[in-house]
Amino acid sequence: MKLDDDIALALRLADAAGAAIRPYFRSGLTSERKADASPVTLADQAAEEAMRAILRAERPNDTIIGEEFGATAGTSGRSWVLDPIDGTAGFLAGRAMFGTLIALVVEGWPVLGVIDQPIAGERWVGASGRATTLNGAPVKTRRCRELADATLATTGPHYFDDHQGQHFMGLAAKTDHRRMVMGGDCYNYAMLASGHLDIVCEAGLKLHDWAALVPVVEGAGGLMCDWNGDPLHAGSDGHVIALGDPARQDDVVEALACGPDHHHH
Amino acid sequence: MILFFYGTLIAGSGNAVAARAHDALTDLGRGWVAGALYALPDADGWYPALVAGQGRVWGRLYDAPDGFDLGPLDAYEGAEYARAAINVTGPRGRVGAQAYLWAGAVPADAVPLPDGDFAAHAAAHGWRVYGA
Repeated sequence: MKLDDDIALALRLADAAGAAIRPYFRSGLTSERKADASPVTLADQAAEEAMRAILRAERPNDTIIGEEFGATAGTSGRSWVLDPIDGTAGFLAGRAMFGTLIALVVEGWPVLGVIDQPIAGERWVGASGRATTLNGAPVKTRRCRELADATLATTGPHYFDDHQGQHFMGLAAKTDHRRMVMGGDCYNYAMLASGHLDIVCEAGLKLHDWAALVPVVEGAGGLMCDWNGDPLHAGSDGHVIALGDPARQDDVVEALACGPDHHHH
Repeated sequence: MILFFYGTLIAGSGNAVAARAHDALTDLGRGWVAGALYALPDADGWYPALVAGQGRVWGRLYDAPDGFDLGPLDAYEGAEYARAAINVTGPRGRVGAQAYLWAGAVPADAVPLPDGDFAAHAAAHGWRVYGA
């Protein structure tokens, strides 16, 4: 399978998902509640089913792992990892900062990722060995010479347990915390790829939350890793850092390891 | 000892030297190194060259048992390649591995492979792999 063909297919998936999602946005629909109490929308399910239908026809031997409908095993060693609406809470709040995430993962390594914002009409595409694009134009992360100057983003403090939260605050204290932003889900990583943010730090992400982000961020010149600085693989624990400037990796990993109680001299 | 293969020595390439080596090797999964990858044409098929660069070059990690003889592989790779110890990022993190790196200048007729995956590129384009 050629990477160009896979990229073209991923764009078709994003088109289908967007068409399924748009009618529901700000439509006042009620949401059911899943066992984990996160809101799940009709849009979420419609978008994943639309993508699955295309994949069943075009890549019958590939595995499909979807946020809504779970895994359908294939035989090729390649997995399409789908999160139709990453940022459901934001979607339900009427904020166009959610995204459709599409990743191609080969033996645990993401090699292709799409972050699609179907309301704003923004689409980031990243692939192994390619420059990341936003609506077809290359994007670049920005330099960050000092951790103290870094703009940090995370989706919300309620996604950290107490222990993780302490480590996160250790990092936050060493960045320019007056500029720290919350909310955003995948959109933060897209903003990092486009050079508007320096660091995104989160815990408890699932493969479908982060797989598409890696090729987008790294193809724009950034780096993604876990909280130990190790590369993200399907076996990773879901503690995720994205860096616009890879040169800050050691600073960020060190700041996270310390936590807030250890940097008082 | 861990070996990193990114071209004709990957199991299943059809290359006879590789097939003999794999009788003794255990697959440890897909991995990558930072670098740039080129494919070189030859009358006996295509073969890759890994050189320093900014991209990701994909291959596979293999565990070689104690006493594994690298002689046949060294002889096969010849003077065009230099065996070196490199760090490979694999499914269980970064590991030190032996790999055959392109030793000279990249020839003018080399085809750059920006995807960094010789096996996938060869399969997608119907290329015959050297020695297969």
